[in-house]
Amino acid sequence: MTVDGDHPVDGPGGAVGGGPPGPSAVPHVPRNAAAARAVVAGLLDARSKEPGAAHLADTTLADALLVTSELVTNAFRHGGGLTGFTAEVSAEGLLLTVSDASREVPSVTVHGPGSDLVGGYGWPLVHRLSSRLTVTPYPGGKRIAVLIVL
Amino acid sequence: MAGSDLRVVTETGPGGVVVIRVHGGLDGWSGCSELSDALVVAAGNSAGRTVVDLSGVGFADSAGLHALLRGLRAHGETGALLMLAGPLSAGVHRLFEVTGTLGAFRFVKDVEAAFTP
Repeated sequence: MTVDGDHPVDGPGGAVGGGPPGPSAVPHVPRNAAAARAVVAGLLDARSKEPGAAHLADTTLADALLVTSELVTNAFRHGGGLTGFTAEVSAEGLLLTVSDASREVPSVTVHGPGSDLVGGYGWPLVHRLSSRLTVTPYPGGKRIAVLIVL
Repeated sequence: MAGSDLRVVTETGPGGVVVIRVHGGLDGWSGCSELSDALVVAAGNSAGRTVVDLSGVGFADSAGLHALLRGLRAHGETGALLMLAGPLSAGVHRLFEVTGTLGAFRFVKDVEAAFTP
């Protein structure tokens, strides 16, 4: 089962530290991280109610929502806008794909001595919670695919 | 689950302790800077003690964590004590756990516990 968001696009609030405004509306993508989390939460909730479905641990749901939130936020803040979003449950687990308008691959901030220790937790968090993570650049953007074992 | 309905309310509790109550979701859309700003102001409070009530936070991602870390740094600079009060939702606890920041903060089970020496 694959679920696509279907809301207009709206960038992160500027008060947070300068998130860029969203690009012109891209159809069929969540308009912000909360909308994307709602898609994933709904998908996992529906799956947990299927006959014979295994119980979904609170931490697994939390992990899925954290990864979703970080990826979608990154797409808006650093990727020139969210251009695609899918969430799918398979035998492997939850597969998320998040596409944005930048070919630049995310990098991990290295905290050196005396550096500002505030910040840089988002992308390492995605790495930590994903069983598989691929970044595929393509003309005009990139697609990040992550697997979270349920 | 909407991330845009964040409410940050600063109160003064017993002994002049600053209590910052947070309701809603903490993410990149919900104005985490509001929380960050409230924490920086609170760091200068005369009681030298601030409690952030996170019991009303259903979700937080790294944007929320960054706001709390900024507040922690501001408290470190003034020598004030910052405490995070639960009970924490599973998702919020998980954020601290997976980022390895559980040890960076002082947690209390609820706001009342923060007033107990």
